[in-house]
Amino acid sequence: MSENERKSGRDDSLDPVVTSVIASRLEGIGRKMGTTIERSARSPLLVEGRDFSVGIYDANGVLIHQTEYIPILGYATAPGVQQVIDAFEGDINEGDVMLHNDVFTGGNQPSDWKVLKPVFVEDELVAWTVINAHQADVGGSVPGSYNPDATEIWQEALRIPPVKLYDGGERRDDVWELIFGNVRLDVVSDDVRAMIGGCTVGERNLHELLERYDVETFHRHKSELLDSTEKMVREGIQEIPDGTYESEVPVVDDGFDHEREMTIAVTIEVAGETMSFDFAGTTDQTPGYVNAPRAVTMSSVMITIFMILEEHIPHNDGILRCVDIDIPSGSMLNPDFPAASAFGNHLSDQICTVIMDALADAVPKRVTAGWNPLLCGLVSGIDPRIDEPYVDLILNGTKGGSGGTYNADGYDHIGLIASGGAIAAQDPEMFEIQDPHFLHHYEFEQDSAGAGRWRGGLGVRTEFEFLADGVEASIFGDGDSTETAAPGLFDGLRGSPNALELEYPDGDTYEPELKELVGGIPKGTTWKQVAGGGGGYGNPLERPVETVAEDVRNGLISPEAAKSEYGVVVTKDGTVNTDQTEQLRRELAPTDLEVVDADS
Amino acid sequence: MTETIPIDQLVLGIDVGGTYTDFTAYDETADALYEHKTRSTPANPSDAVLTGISELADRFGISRESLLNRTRLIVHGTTIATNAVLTGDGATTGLLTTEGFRDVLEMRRGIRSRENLYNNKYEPPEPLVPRHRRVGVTERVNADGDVVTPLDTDSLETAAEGFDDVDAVAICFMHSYANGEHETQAETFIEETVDDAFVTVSSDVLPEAGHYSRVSTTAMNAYVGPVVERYLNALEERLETNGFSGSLQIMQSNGGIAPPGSVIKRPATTVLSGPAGAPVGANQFAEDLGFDRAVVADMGGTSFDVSLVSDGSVNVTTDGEINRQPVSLPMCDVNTIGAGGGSIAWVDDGGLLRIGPDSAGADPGPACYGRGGEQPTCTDADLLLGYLNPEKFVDGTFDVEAAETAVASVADELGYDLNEAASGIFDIINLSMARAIEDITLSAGYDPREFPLAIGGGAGPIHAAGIAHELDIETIIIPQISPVLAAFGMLTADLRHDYVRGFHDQWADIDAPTIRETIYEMVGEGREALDDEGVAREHQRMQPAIDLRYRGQHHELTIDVPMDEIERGELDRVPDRFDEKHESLYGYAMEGEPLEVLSLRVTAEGIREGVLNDEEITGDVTRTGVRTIRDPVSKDSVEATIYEGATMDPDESIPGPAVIESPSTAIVVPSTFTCESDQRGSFVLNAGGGSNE
Repeated sequence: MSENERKSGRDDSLDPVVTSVIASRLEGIGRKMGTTIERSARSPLLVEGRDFSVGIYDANGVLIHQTEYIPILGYATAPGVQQVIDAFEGDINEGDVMLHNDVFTGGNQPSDWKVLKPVFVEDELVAWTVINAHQADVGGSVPGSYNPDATEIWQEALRIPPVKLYDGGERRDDVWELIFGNVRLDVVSDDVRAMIGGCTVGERNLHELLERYDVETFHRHKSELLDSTEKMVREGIQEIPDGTYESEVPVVDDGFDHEREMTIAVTIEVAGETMSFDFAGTTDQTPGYVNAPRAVTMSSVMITIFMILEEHIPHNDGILRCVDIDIPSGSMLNPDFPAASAFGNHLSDQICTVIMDALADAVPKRVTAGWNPLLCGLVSGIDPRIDEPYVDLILNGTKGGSGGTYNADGYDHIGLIASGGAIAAQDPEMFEIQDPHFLHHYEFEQDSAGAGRWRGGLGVRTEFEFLADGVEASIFGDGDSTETAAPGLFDGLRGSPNALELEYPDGDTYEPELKELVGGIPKGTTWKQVAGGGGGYGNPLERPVETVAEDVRNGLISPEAAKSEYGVVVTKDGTVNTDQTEQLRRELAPTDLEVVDADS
Repeated sequence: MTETIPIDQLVLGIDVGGTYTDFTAYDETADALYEHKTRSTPANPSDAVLTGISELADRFGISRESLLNRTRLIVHGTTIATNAVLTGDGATTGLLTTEGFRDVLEMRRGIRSRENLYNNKYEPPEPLVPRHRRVGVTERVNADGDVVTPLDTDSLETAAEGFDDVDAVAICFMHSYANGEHETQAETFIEETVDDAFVTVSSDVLPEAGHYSRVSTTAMNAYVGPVVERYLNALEERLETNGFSGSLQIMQSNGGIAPPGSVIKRPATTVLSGPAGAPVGANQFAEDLGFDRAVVADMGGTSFDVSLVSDGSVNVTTDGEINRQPVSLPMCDVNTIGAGGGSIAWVDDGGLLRIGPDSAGADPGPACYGRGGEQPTCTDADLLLGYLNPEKFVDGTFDVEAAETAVASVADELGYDLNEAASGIFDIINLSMARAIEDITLSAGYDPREFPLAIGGGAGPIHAAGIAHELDIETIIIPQISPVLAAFGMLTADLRHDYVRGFHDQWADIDAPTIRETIYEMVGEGREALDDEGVAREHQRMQPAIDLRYRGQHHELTIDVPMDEIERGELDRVPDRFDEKHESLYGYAMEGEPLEVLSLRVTAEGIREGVLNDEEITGDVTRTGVRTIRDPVSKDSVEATIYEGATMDPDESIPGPAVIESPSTAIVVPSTFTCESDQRGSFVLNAGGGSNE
């Protein structure tokens, strides 16, 4: 044996190469499971929007690998997986398929259904393949589940505690009929079949992997993979200065009281290699659906950590070992049974924002200014062209800009932070082909981006006309005021707020509340929505003059805003008046112009 | 050196690459094949084309004019469009859109990047047309093709005023695939008002629904248009001036060839003109061995390109990208990853070994080149594991000590000895390459185990067996002309015509005679086109297929149907084939669920043949000794027999463990493989018996 080897005194049974091989293979398997959903499912939410996440867990429910097609569903899946495993302990057999959505046993949102399949080698349970995916309908009192009038879970969705859809390879028709008899749309059972297919693809590929490396080798190296991830995260956290960091952000409209302002608060303790997040100070649970099951906060915390550590960290349980999360029970981030919570996923906007804001002084170069909070509409009605029901989320209208960050502008038209830019907007032509809608306008909105040394991403104006009569729209979101629009950082300005207006055929207009069901929308009504921009980072007066001028030339910033926010005197075609600009910037610059410490 | 070879009638394949311009010359009368390389001239790529032709003529002992005079056909692969996109050096382009939709191009459907979900510093690619040159025009057509708002000429005039300084104009209006009248009117107007502009309209370039795909592809067409047009016009003229009166054909990204006149209208079809040659070339070698499919991999110094041949033709995708810019025209599906001989090994913060994507490149190159490289590379590991002969570097010997020092740096961090670290580098890079192969095969719906691996590039034959073992691939093909595989592909590219007919119907309602009639229509068109191109009937090949899905799905699977089943009207086996394919790809089938047909397809091919030398191959491989190598499959140290030479007798067989050293590479044969040669001198490695599950 070599000198090096003796020196390190490593465990001979562990081979880092095998660990890398297994990690690589798991990544490949996750992708194959995801491809199954993307290519074979029915709902546009899954096929176009990719609103799902894929995971491989060990026999005990420890996450070994995750491929999150949408980040918010990623780490929000694990708590439910654990509950399913506990529920069936002693009765888990090859060929079983489990289903779960219940937010009071670990679920994250009633619309997000998990399919789980155990993977056996001979008689030993070795792993689970799991897919968590947003369903087009889940029962409850309104199509698509977003019901601002709901006060309890039963008004939102069919509650599915851990159940077996298949038992030892046989479909349980009684359970199947019970579930799908309580759902409005046929595509849901087809989508669940695609999810089962995806889990089966994962199972087959894990079998191949376990033929190559025996179970014992797999177990040992899986643990090594988690340890190595943990080590990476610990080293990453160590770079964050120790300390206690706090912040709070507002959430407006609880579904009943449209003016009510709630608070999400966090205290972050960084101590050496670990971080803890305490959400004490967050408003108590609300009477309506503006409550987030615990899993949502877990996932949101992970999203911000991945963003802040700026490393390629494998996505498994290793990261969870370095992070503690405390959420007061009975608060809007950990509501008591039987609270409604369908809006909960979307509180991730504010949860991520509050964490970024709290850590801004600790890691100024890694945080981003605020992302545009979601304001979305789920519309449903009868498509007159085929005389059949249709349901769709107006995704293109909801995707505003992300926050600026050190050395990079925010990303234009990206949407909520919890998606990381993974959800695709509808193509304008496909939008008209799939839905009875006629699009009039779909472009970047001038002056929507929060001004900054690095400006926020641009928001988008979407205007379309309903060609169907009597459409119902469930509006859900936030950020429609200058106080709640995406915040800037380090003297960067806020992005523009969200705005939504319905213009009826008779010329009357109506501005819905942030959470509201609007029914009976007549044919010929125009939906006019502006998704706001992201917040700016750093003082706008420090943005290079020529960059501002280019944005003006491209019509993204008006000459007026260039002057008032950036101190740049420029004509519409991008011609800069250098003397006036110099003078104006001098006048506008505060004596204590706060500059981000270049060395922090 | 003059060989004075009597040349009667030539066919030339010319592949302009970044560093070298490769030539293959096929003498049809003598059935002889020649290869040649000359340094590329990026400033004016046609210089190298002419220089290379002169050099070839010198070899044959004739003048350039005389050589061109005897050349019947030149097939040319060019990187002119590729480079314009990679360097941002395309035309100054303007874009006309429907008013209200001018940002669709830059919005990219609001997607950041799957690989960069958490990277807030990821910056998007610059749009090919900046916003101030994207102008909305008052007009509107709906999804049925009905005019909702007539084209307003005043708004066209206003738009054109901003196009003083543009070289190209792209026009893409909403739903123009359903009614292109407004686009045509705008095209006429722009041609009249904007001098010398290259004008292209989306209803010509890509007449199908999906605005983002169409506008991006049309913008790409405009962006590379003037560049490709100038280049091809100049090249044609230079070739003619120098005595060429034959036919010039351009390699397209889809693996087929087309004359310059048609390429100039759709220059975006040439963005992967070069890489498309390799799979076309490899296809021929695979076919020789009775395979109608192959994974084609080219392992260079910094990158590893994978493409696919299936059902006897090169796999094409309509979801391609170049430099992060989408192109929705059919192009050869190439998956490129940063893995090659120069890839650098490192240890990440979690203590795991990683390789690449950084590469030592050509300068300084791997440590063992002895040119000052200090970081451990894949080639250094190859040397330490015994795959490369330390005595046989291009200009002398490898610097083994430098390789050891370099690899020791990662070995120390890992607590490994040298051999273990080198083995780790070798295994992990093989795994990345295996995954690149898996990616492309699986996303195309194939199982890599059912494919032979055709490998090119200098480092390819060293790693081929390791990669193949990882994927359970049993056959490896190493073509004789692997250094100029792409240029060879250009010689053999078939004439190819794809026909598709929208045929939207429920499977339950279809009627076999109607399907037959539609297929026959396409077959008829295919025969007519190939007849015109002088392809004899016995060399024409027709493959019908049906695109199907379960009702309500968004994506189809293409199911090939044998011609005789179409002829007899027996389509009852199609649903079973669909269910089987669906089950094997997606883990489930929905037998008995209603199926819908989306389209019918026919691919008509004119098979060109006789390009390969049929002469008897005489082996020159000789046994030179024994060396200890690490067996890439069993991972044990084994005593490998070392051979030297470039060809084997077809009835000869070399059992592993062995290394066959040729001037440009080394073929590593593991204990569980044997190496043989086919009739035309390609090396073929076969996984032997029981050891390969």
